[in-house]
Amino acid sequence: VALPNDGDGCPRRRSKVMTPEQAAALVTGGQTVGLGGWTFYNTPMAVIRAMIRAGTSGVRLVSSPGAIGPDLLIAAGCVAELATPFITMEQFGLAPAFRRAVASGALAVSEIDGPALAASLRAAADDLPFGLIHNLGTDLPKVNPAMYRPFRHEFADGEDLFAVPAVVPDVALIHAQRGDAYGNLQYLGATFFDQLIARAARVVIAQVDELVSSEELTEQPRLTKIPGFEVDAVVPVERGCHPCGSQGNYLADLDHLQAYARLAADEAGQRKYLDQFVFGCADEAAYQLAIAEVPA
Amino acid sequence: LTETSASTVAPTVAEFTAVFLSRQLRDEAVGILGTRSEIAEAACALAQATHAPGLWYLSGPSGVVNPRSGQLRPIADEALIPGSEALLELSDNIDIIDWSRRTWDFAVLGGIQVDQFGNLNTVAVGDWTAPKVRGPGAIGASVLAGHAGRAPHAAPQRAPVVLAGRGARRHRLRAGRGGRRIHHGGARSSGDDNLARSGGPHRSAAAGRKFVTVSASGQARG
Repeated sequence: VALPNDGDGCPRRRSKVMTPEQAAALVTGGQTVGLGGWTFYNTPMAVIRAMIRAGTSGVRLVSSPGAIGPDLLIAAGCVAELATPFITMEQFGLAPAFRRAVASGALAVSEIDGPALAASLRAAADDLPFGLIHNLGTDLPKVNPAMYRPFRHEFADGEDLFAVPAVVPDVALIHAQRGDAYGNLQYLGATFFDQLIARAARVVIAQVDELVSSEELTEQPRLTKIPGFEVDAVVPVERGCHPCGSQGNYLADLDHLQAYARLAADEAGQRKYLDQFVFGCADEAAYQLAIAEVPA
Repeated sequence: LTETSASTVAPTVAEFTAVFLSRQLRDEAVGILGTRSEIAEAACALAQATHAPGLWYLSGPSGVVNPRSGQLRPIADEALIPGSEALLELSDNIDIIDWSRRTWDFAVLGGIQVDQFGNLNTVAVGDWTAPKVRGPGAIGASVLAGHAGRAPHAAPQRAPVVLAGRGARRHRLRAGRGGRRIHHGGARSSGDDNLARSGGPHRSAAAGRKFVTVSASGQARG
């Protein structure tokens, strides 16, 4: 079935397709960036690498539980402050750049747990000033009093709660398996926090494995987990999550991830990784050639 | 869950832990597993295969409910999706994981340090502002520990463990919607010198009496 705007003579529906470099240019220094995916899955690495090459700095990163995605942004000095429930290299240990940057004081941490992240994003998505979470006994308010505000209310029936301020990402970075030119996004596996982040953010950049036609996409509307009206940029990149995987399409490159975890454990190795796999590659095509070699 | 000729192969600590945990899990209990939960995942699968065929467990990150893949994979891995009983969306699932006191019974937590009361540190060893070891982060340990019928527990990083089992759902039937109030020790409990020395602000879990603590002899990896 031809859509009206596909016909000759009709106004064209606006395409949101762009390159990683164009998408990275939508992020300006000092902005709040929300990152989707989860550890080794659905991390929009191609856009992250483009941001690093563009020299984006001073970012306040609000990250889903991540691995090399947030860690590489930290390694490259893009991040001024990080808010995340956790970062881990899964079976390969602690996140190396994150660990070092926190220990040296180079990275400010807004210490939050999962409930605070979810509440702050949901409040943002709902245009409410704050969300509520239960106070169940935690030291987090001591290190992050701005985020965990003791909250009592006559309607709360004596419940001990925290008000968590809304966090509105200026830009969301997420990854879906399929998308059309108008921003409709289909997921072939888990969605993680992507929908919530997309609803909360002002601008949504979606990297996709495959750009499909509206006809193909609308054959399976149930796979569309984020509608195009929430999305501003669609960035098709083949294997753009590498070294992470894209659920339903390709697996994480565990050899590369393990090598990164080892190499980035010290400053020199971290620099070497960035030089070889980010700055040394003009674009994603060059990166895809470079990864024939395991980091060492 | 590998099959071995058991008489000649000594079980690993991870295997012992999985067996121990599986024995804490009651039939019809509902549990939540997060990242790095392979041991707990094995425990749930073992329990389902033996005494608890009606056990429910779900992946916090991916939303998979009762994976039946026969593979022991990271709990967020797509390999667990085919054949599972449901695939929920985390953006909705957080209602169950982060707020509900009546949907689930147990969770499995790990961390860098745990004390004899079940206070759990997942954030930092040493001063929070300049940690000797920076851990992964606060996770969601406080809420998971607080909302579980009895929460689980902890061990050095990479050797998580757990559990619980009183049955929040049964309790829910008694108490009605949202009727259960859990009192937490958490940061307010005292007496652990080691945790106190290591800086305080990173303990994120609570209520030692609710925990079954398993300290697998793994090394806290740094």
